Amino acid sequence: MNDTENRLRDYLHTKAADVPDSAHGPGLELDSSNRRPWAPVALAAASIGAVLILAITFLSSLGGNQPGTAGSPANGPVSTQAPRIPYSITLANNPDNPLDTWWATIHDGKQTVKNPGVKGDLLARLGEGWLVTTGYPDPKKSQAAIVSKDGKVRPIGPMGADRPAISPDGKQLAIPVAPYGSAQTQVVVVNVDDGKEVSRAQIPTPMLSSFGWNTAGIWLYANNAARTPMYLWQPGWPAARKLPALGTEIALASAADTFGYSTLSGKAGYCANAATLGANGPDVKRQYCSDKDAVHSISLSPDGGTMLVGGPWIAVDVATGRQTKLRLPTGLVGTSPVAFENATEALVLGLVPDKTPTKPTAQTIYRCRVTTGECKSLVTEKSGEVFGLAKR
Amino acid sequence: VISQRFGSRHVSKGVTNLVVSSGHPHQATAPDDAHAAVSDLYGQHWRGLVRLAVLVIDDRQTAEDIVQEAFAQLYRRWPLKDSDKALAYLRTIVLNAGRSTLRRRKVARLYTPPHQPPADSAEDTAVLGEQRLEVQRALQALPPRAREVLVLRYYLDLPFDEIAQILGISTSTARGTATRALTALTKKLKDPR
Repeated sequence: MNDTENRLRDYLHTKAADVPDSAHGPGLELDSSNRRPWAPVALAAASIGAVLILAITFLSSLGGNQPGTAGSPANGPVSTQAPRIPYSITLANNPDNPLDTWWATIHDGKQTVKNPGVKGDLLARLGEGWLVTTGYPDPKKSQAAIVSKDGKVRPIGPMGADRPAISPDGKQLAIPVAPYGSAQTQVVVVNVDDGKEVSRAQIPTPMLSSFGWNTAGIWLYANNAARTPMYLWQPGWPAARKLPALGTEIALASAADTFGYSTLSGKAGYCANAATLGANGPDVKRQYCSDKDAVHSISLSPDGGTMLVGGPWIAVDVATGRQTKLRLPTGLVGTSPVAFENATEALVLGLVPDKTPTKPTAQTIYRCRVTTGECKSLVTEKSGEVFGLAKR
Repeated sequence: VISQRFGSRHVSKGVTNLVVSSGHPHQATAPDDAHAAVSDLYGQHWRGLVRLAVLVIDDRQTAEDIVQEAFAQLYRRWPLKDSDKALAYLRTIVLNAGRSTLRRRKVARLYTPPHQPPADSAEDTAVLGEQRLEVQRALQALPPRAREVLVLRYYLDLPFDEIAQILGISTSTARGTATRALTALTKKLKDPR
């Protein structure tokens, strides 16, 4: 631990002691009339749940799903060639202006592109280059942009933009625009090629952001702790559809209508669910539960055929239920959503934390084959580097 | 090792997500239960949350107001889908409210005549000492998000995935922000102007 860390820790604990151990709050005066009407929903859920748990137990005994063992490789051993999804490197030790430090280079196969002055994040390979956000630190100037191979920057869509969602065919972007203080959010859809606006929705909820865009539509959530309300909207729909609460993280299969979400239930433990959206809510196609390992993240292959559960690092075949344990280093913590390169291979960015919580350890990008569990290390951060993995 | 009992399950079409949270142990619905659960959390975490808020906004009275409101919000939302995350939820509300407070203060400053910043109080100087006041000033000069990450990391010793969850950002961003913020802090401490 360096001197700054020591001084910071010392200051924080001294300052916190301003609130002495003997301090106590004034107490709670809670008005039950303002509470959410949970009772009918929960009772109904409990009833349906009891029936379903019995049904699931029965179906499980019929299915006899077993954790998979390493099967025969589909295409030989996993390759150690460069990641097929771009990643960025940020040099974290820029002494001139450390808080205003953004990606220094994008690495995509054999290509390396230097940052031409963009202040934002790398999101994906798209169009003639790479989709990034730009405009930091002024929220009114934030915008999506394409950085091309020769370092040119082409802004797309409105300013004041939240992170864009990419359409399943990669030809359009859905860009939430929600100025601070506005009671609504505009979702503007523009062409990637020419930047032309082709559709727009107005949703009566402030500060919406997007989980992404799959064939079911554009998934939006409110920026609060519970991430509710959530909406789904497709260009051409007259209004956005309000969704039931689905937790704080939604994973989308980019080229299908499948989505993933996590739940925690007293009996089943931590669950990852792969579902499609039915008329009344999620139509769960596959559920993976563990009473031991927390579900840290869920990712879906582009076709929705595989659900990868971060934490226990289990790949679940959605159609058959077959489970494959990825052979990643023990204790690996994922630091970014898993990015599928194709239907069977995924990139995992993560690190194994040091025993000393504040000691930094390097992130590594692994390539894992979800059908066999084989994983290989591709590239590891050098000192002072921070990797960021794009979505696609 | 995967527990076979909790292995993958196929769920038939037409089943909604009402099912999957139905066994939640804290889906008690009676107001008395909610009151008891939230009061219990209040007893356990009020002080720690006020300390967290004080470190972010540096104002005890506002910190207490924010924490009080956070518990009121928690009560209105109770039961949470995942009651194990109640503390994380409270921390998120407290930090969000702290950020709003700082934003309002900044806006208020824009509409008031320029004035000399208040000198550190004698009480502060006595309690903290000059060395710590340097850290306080350097920390206050950081953007709110950077300050929050440092407080969560170096006061609460939280891992980056938990910090990311509380702040609603990715683990990578949390980690990067901490690194950049610490570097900025070092620079400010070396050159306090």
